[in-house]
Amino acid sequence: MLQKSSFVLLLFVSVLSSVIFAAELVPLPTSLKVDAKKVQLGKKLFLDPILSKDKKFSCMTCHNLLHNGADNSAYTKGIDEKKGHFNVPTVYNAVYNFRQFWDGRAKNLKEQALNPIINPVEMGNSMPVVLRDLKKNKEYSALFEALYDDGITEDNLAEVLAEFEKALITPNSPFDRYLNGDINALNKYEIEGYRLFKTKGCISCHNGINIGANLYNKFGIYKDADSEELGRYNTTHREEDKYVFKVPSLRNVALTAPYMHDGRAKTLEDAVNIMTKYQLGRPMKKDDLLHIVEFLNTLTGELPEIVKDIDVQHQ
Amino acid sequence: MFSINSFFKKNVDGAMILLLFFVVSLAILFYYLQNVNTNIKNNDQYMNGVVKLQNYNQAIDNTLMRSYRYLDNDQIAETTKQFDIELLALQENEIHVAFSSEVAALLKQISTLYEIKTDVIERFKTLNARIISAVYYLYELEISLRQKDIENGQVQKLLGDILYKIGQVFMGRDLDELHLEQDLVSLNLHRSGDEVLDYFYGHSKQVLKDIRALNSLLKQNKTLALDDTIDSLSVLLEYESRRNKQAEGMIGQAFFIFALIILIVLVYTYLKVLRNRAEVFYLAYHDTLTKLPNRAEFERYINERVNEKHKGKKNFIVLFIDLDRFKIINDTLGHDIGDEMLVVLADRISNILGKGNLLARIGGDEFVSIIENKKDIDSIDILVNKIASIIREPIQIREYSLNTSASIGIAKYPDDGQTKSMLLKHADSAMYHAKDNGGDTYAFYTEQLSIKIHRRLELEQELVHALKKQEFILHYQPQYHLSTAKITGAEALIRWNSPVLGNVSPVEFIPVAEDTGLIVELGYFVFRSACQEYMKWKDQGLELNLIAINISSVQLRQADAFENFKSIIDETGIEAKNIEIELTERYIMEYATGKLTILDDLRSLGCRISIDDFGTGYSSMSYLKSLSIDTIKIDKSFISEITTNEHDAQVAKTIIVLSQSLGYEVIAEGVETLEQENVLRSYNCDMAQGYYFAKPMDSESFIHIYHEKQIL
Repeated sequence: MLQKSSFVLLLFVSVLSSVIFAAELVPLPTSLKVDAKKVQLGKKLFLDPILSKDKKFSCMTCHNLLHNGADNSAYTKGIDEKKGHFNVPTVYNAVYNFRQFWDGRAKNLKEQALNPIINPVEMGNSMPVVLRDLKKNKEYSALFEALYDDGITEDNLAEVLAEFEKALITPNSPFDRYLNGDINALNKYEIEGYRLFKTKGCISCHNGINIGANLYNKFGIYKDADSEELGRYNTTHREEDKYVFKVPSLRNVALTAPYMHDGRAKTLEDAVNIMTKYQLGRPMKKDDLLHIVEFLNTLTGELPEIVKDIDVQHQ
Repeated sequence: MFSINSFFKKNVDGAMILLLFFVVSLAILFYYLQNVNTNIKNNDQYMNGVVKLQNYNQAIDNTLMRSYRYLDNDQIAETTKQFDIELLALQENEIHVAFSSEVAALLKQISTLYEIKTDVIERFKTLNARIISAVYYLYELEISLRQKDIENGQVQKLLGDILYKIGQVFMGRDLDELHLEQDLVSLNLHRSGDEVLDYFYGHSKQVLKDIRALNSLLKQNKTLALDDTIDSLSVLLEYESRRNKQAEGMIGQAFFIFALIILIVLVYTYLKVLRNRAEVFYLAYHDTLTKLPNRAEFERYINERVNEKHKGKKNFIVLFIDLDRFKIINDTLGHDIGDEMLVVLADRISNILGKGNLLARIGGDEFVSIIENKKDIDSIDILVNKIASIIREPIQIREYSLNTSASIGIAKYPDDGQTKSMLLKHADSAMYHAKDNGGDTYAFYTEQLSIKIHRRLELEQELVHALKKQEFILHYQPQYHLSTAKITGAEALIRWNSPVLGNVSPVEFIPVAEDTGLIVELGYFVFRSACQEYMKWKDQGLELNLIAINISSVQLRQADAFENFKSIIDETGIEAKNIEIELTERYIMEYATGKLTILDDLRSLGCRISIDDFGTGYSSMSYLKSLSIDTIKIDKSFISEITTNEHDAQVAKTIIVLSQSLGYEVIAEGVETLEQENVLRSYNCDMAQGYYFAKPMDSESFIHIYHEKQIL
């Protein structure tokens, strides 16, 4: 009996290891194919407060393209000082998210694009007004006419914004360079951090090209997370979907403090701590944690060319 | 020709419409087939889309079979996205309308099921990730616990059991839920605050919960049976597509058959038109009665021959064959007989001519032949004789045995004319010449003929106006007593001085006048003028027995001739007994056998009658007897050689004796010498007329001569 069970165990372990170690991370490509004209128009609109009700807020306001593609606060701050419910996720590499929004209700960038515009606690505008304002603008009219037979429409607006966002990827992080063969890109602690990232099981959820953002999981598996937001429950109304959110991407995570959907973790250390307790449900030695944090710091990529000419004043 | 044109027009128009129909239906068919082709392509593309759906779904199902294994979440996200896109494409594709609402309903169903499936997939991913992560930790924990030297072997065993059961699931075996639960309950009891055991317990519980959830999820997926629905769609599409193809195929076929029918009708019509055209063509160029080529064909044929461009143009001969007095047969016996005659004659002549020579009917009783056979050309007279004799042969039609003959004119190409018109004109002239010679003969064209006919035409033209223009005058030739040399009478002779033609001899223009009927008016003019002149002479003291006036038989055939003559006699006041009417021998015979009474009437008035040119025509005693005449005029042909030709002398003598014995007076014409006079005197001829005594002269001169001679 013991013989049999240990044999089975052995087999099981080898399977398990192969499974776990089959998970590897992959680097970003240096560029994506995009429609240049649409990108330019999208960029123009992204930076333009014309989209907001008070004409003071642009997409850039919350998604700072010159820094982290997000902001530095726990919650969104909309027009008229309205406070939102979620930590601004970064727009960088968002093209690789399998869904958009913390609850994954938008299938892709295009489906997400117009929501902030009409969200009352964000840009607080309405689509008819936006379209009207855009149509009044000769330059936008001309630019849209050049690209679309039907000119300025909701669909076309979303499309050009999404096309612009597609171009916002941050390749060549030190980790990516390491994955691409540059063994000197990481130091030994960072490498150790990566190993721990895998063996501790972080990689079981944060995997794929965007190091996360390709599945949902419950926030607070082994410990109750006390979240205000219910996540997927709002759409599915299933008990098991309470506090289920989209696993966020860890790319550029060093820049996007605070962390979690409600911004409760101020530092990476805090974040990793929370993750270990709530998600992994296991203890973590301090050293290990620090190594992991060091590893996470290597995930910061380069800003794309397209944002390099944006005026710093433009906020 | 008009009927041929309209015939063609009708048929061609119909053909045009049919052709149009054909082209149009062909165009429609072509367009339709193009459409069908596009439809098929689109259909296939559409069905390919459904196949893609099946593939994506299959991939997703494959993923769901990989529980407890590493999942490529990016890949799964990509696959689900593709399915979504494809499904949307299928739903929005225009080709939708080609399929029934069932297809749309199925697509909707697929969409609904798929939404559920994506949800399943997401939960699967989540559960799978949790389970793997937790189990890996459990394993770590188990090792660390083993290393930790736990006194309680039971706990150790428990941990092992739990791991073992979980391991079984990883191996693909069913979860021993019941026992695992029991194990967990046991572990819970033995936890006793050991942190590691706590971790173990917590994670095991979570794993069990998650495995249960995973299993029910997989069951849910099975009940979804999305693959079955997609398969149904595929089957339905195929069925409908095939049905559509069949329908389209049938429509295509129908169009094709329709076009084919029109084509057949078109071809049939065309063939009919061709056949008709051939028939019409034949009719256009052939005489319906005799089946010979007609004038049109003849013209064409001869044009061809004359215009042939190759060297060494062949010679040929044109024959104009005109049936003599055919009109009489037609008029008396009827046209059917006449037609049958023509058919027979056409046949006969054809046979004589043979294959190499063309025979055509160009008129009611006119035929023309083109002789091209060299042998025939060389011995043309033999051929023509053959034709003439074959025509002469009696024709048996019903109870009649009919006879006719032909006048044949012959003209040679290129000798007698190098153009068609010249050639035909000359053949015609030759034919008329033959006719002039009494018919039933043939004549070659000569140069003279042309001149003659030309002259004749000229005369005709001038004659018409000559009388009005007073171009005619009368000359008078004295008739004298041979023994006394006294002038007893005068013959009035017409003279014509045409400003255009000059002096035209009566020998020339009288026949023309007779042919054209102008003789009638001319005759009355002569008669009147002569009578008037006689009265004038009488006033001047001339005592003549008579004035002799030539009257044409044509004139005498006029119904009102007698009345007219009588009225002139009355008008002029001349005594009838002083008029001597000169007639030809031929006319006498005609008169004798005819029903006319004019001569008798004139005679009863008192006119005298003399026979001119006696001895040259038909003379029959009984005729002479039947009509009491007064004078016989011996033709000058007997007088001119009376001194040298014994025969002529005897004839003259006989005539004189005979005539006198019958009580007629005899006058000799054309006495030109004293010797002739002497001979005639010796024969006891009564009178004479001739150059020796006096030539014909105008009235003034006559009066003068009269007085002169009277003195003598």
